[in-house]
Amino acid sequence: MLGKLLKKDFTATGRFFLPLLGGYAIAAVVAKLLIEMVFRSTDLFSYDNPISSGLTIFSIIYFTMCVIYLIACYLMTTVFVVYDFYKTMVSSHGYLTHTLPVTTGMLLWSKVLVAVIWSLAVNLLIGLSLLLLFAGHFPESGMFQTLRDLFRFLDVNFGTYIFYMLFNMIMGLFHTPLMFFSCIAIGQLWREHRIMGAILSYIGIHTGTQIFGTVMLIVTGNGLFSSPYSGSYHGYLLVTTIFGILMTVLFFLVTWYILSKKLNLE
Amino acid sequence: MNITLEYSHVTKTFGSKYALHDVNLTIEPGHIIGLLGPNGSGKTTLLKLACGLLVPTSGTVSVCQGPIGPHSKARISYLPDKDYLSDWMNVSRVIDLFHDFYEDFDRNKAYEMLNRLDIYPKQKLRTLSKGTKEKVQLILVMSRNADLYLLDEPIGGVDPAARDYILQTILTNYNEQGSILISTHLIADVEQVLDQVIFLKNGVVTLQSSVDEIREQHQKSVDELFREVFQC
Repeated sequence: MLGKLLKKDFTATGRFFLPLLGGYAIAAVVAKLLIEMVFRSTDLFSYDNPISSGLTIFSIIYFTMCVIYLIACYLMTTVFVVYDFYKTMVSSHGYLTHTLPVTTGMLLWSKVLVAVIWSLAVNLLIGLSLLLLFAGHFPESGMFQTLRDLFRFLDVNFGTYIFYMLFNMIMGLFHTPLMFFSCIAIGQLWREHRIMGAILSYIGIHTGTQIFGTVMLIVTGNGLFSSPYSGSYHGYLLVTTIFGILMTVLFFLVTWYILSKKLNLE
Repeated sequence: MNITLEYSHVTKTFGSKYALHDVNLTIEPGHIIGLLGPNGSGKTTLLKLACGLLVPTSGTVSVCQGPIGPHSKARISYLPDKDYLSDWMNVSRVIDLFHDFYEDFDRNKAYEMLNRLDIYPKQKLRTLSKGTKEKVQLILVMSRNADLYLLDEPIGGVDPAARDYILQTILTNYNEQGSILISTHLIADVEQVLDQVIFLKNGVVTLQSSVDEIREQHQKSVDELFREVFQC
């Protein structure tokens, strides 16, 4: 049944994500062609040549729009995943969703996996587009050496940092949608003004998480006024990662509990 | 004794307001039952509890002697009183969806009914009129070979000709070993198809009886008795 739910949810969300990602891929290829044309034109003509300067101005406008598109891709991914969850789980379409012969756990897993896979696709596409854009134009400087020096200063092994970064990135793919899902679910406990309940839950959870992060920075000696050598950045990474895992599991359990034991679809 | 649906001391509150109060009901297989009551009497709440769309405040609801869950949902065919399908879908896609999830869904029966109504399967739901959309929803529900059909106001808000079509569709397509629970306040239109009735008043079951018993004991039609009981 999970496979059937995934098929249903991918079909529903794909009609939004496929044009969004397709549009971005085309925009990235055009950007690459444009950047190569700018380099060629400045090789062929002088900088003050009208062709060269016109092309440069057009590229700047185009790249600005691409950056806006890129940011919109990130934002719209979350917005659409959250909207789809709201519409199909607690709004009028929930009448179909919750009468399907499946468990609440399956419904939730399907929503989470679909959100994770689309987010991953967006991130991969953006990463690939940046690689494509800069291919053949990477600066030949000691970039990695500079990063190693920075991590040595922060008392973190480079490999350890990469591990935490990747782990948190993957966890973030689950954490973000689940946080929004749990807020929507908590909002359902309100008798009226359920959207307001969800927004207030989000503000509460977000504020709480931020406070915890700041406290951990100070406790592990990485605060703004701490001595640079007094703390352990590794300790900070470890604590926040464990906290992130616990919160992700908690969001899943809260959403599951409310949708299975407290569902009140009106 | 086989029991298709059972409510045992079910109470449902919304805030401090009682929607249902200590409801005890049993529905046996092979009946067409009218769930009758004025607006706000708790009819929709009663049906939604059986579908798992609401959770009772106290008491238990069971379907075919089991709790509400995936198994009960596989045996119930539910028609809500609202538009619950995504309107970006076309009709054939919704049929595929029902076919995917419900083992008892008869795809051929659904297409036959669509064909009789001249509803084109490739039409998007958003392009259909409200009445046609309601007919599509009814076709989906009645194309299942379910143990229990829960129909919430299936003839509310449609013209008399459409009412006849809807009732005819229900009667010619339901699984005769199963039961149908029809919630409505348009009693005169459904009375001839019912064999049992449940009167619901302010969240309390005031009567559960067969239509024949009502006619014998009260010398009245169900519609006349309803008007007497629920007189404002």
